[in-house]
Amino acid sequence: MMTTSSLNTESLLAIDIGDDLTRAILYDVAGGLYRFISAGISATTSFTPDSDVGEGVRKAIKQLRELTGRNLLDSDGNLIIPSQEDGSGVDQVAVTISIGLPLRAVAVGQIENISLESACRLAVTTYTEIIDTISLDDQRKQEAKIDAIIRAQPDVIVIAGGLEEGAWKSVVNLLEMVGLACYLLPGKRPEVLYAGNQALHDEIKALLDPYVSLQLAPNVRPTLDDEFIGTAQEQMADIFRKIKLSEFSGLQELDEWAGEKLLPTATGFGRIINFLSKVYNGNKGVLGIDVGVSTNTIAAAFRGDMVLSVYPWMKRWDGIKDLLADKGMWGIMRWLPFEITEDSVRDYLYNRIIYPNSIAVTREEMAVELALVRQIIRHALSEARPGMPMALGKSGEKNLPWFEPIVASGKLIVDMPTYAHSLLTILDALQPSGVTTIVLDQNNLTASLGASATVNPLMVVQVIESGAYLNLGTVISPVVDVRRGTPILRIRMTYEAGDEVNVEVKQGDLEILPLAPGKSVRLYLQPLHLADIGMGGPGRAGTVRVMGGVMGIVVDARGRPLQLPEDGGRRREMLVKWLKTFGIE
Amino acid sequence: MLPAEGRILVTSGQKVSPLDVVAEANLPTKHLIINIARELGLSSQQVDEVLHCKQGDKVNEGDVLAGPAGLIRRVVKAPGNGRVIFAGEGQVMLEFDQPPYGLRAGMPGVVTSLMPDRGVELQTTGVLIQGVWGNDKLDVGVMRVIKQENGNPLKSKDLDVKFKGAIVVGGYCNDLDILRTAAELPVRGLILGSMTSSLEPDASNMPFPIILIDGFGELPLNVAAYGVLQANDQREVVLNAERYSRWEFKRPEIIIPATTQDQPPDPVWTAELSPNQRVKIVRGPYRTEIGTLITLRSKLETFPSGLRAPAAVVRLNKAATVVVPLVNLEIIG
Repeated sequence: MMTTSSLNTESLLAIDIGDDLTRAILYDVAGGLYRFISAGISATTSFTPDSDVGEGVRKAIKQLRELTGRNLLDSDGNLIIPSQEDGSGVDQVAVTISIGLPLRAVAVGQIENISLESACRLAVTTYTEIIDTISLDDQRKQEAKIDAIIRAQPDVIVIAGGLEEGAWKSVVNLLEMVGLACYLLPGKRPEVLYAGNQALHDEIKALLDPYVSLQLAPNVRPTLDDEFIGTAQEQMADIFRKIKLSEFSGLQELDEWAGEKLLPTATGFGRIINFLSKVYNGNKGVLGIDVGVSTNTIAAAFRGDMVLSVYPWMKRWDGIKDLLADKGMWGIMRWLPFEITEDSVRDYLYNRIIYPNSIAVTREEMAVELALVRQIIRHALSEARPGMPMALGKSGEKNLPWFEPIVASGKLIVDMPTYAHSLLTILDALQPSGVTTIVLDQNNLTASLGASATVNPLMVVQVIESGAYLNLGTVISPVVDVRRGTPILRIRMTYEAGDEVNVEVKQGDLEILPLAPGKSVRLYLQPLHLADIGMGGPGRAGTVRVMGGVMGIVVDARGRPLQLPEDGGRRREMLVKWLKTFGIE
Repeated sequence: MLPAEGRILVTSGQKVSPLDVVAEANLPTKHLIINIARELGLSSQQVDEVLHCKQGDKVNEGDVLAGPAGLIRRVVKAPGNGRVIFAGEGQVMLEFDQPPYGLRAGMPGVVTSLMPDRGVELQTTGVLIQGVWGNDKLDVGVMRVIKQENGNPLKSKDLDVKFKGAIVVGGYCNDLDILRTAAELPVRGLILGSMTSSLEPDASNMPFPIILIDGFGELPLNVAAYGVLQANDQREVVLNAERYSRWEFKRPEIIIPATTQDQPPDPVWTAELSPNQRVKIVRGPYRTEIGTLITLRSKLETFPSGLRAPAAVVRLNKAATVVVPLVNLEIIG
């Protein structure tokens, strides 16, 4: 491993401003390697009486000083940069933000289920709410589409359409309509991101440049079968940055601290997931979920191809209604291990939106909270899955692709009563397949590391390797369609000392095989009845070496997708049994 | 604040009433594209010769936009009042006139400053009670408080004819019939402690403003708000049931204008919890209870949920003390 001894070491202050909390995270060299040192936390101060996010940042930095003894601010409250000989100050700053309402977006595409879908997926790579969508398939009259754009009062219009070297006239017609709508918009004009046929760039500049701030990106849908969101999502991030800088007092100064590289928190998160996918570079992808108080982010990457999906549902009142719509309410109710009325649960959830930062006090509230987190993740996953990198392998259309590892972050998943709560919630919500390691970002560092990656990549590598992340456990989830109770997997565990344990797994089982953190074991996995464990096909056996996590090795043979009994009594009985397996009373 | 740039209709120092419009803006309107060439059976080039309008022209309903043309001397008329956005290539695009959006004062007061093109700052003296949910309506009226007894819900029979035209203060509402009865009377507004969430869609569509002070569920008004409202029974109040939006600085509000001319000291803004503050518990078993913060716990507290969090000891009005997570406390004035 490369140490910092031969390099000019540079400390880094990462600032993350969320809707409610602002964190100041210090990274520096300790014992020759970069380490996460500590984090100071303050309330975000975008509201009265401060109305300046910089105040919250300074409070968080002051708390950091109390924790570390290191002074980062001078007597006037200015950041000391670079670090001084007396140990004060820092050398680099990275800033991530997720504050404020999501951007209002209109997505425009040539064909509804091709380029419009790509435009929508591009739009949700940062904190946006898609207010309307427009395509050639749209049956509304031209003026109705124009009025729809005007009514939406968008912050951003995302346009995709036209295959590379394909027909372009219809795309130009769409763009003329967008241009006219922008011309007619009262007040501020939106940002426009065009990610369609690149042959039209000159024409688009002539059409839209006079009325909007235009950004041109590579075609996200160059062919019918290929989708490349990668580069364009960085431009979406830049649009978010630009809009938020004008929205919040104090952000401009922070952006200057960060060398004008302020990032959406979700983008920082996605960068690390992408980085890990390059490092692991195996046959599986890397999945990241960040479940925050108001936003859920999903990043799926495969060998450097990463797609980010950001769902800021809880930032607005209607978000909870959207989450509960269709079968959403049942999606929460089915995870509750006790009887309670839908009205009571809905009352609780509505109150939770009013006080998003409050916490569960009773066991019943906690159970609803855990059920809500499962539903938030599942709902986000169902939205994000169609956009995940196409090269990801999977066993069955309904199942999660093969991922190794899965990184879980965010207040709602980290701040749980025990690690068992976190792991069981992740398993129930994601329902991973095959063999995967579940890693908990217990200090919520991922986004800040992602923002730091461009200024100090070595630091990112060393912090990730430092144990700042917690291995929750290795999960083995065979995929097979057989009756409950049928043997589906034989496991031979060979410990470091050479002793062996054999386990037979039946369909429906949920078991924990203890393996202490830091200990390793060799697993020989022999699927039965053509069960698929991600070793190259149904029935294929294989050997893997796994490291112990805080929850050991979890064998989750409950079925994929996991089906809960329709009967309430049986279902609750089963949920209680699973909770007991995880030691949750 | 206006949702878009507009015009300010008041001057600094001017007195305003809650329903006065203080600023207005032209918000997005409707457009119509008329294919003149198709209507008249002409080519795009031929249309230019019979076109009677150009970009920017004001038109009234019935004005001839193009024609006559053809054997039966057909014409194309404007279907409404508006202006021409473009005219050419065989088409005319119209933008119809719409009444401007009016920004109402929402409270009685004096204009203290103007924000050019966007809004005004108002100052008033009185009691302010903020709620947590509103149905986006506004009205002014005499407040009538229905006595809260034993935490019983508001009932339809409570709303007799003496509440007609009043802003009614009730406990909590768990029955759609109550809202319907209130609409039939009609009342001018409804102030509730809470309401079951299943009524939210109907409550949103009621023709009168509704404000929830404490949230959703079946809990009576918190004692602090009830006390203030009861003390001001039969007074004129403003019910501004704006939708709660933390990012747009909007919260549903009840304003009870002061009767005295004396100017009280400005309220002190604070977000920091400290002993002796009056607080409301917003979540958990003591939700909506009012108490006094006694001490801040120096260590994290573990709650029955299993969560560990910074906490405070709060003395409730019943004299009992409870330990509450700090994040579940709201400072009240």
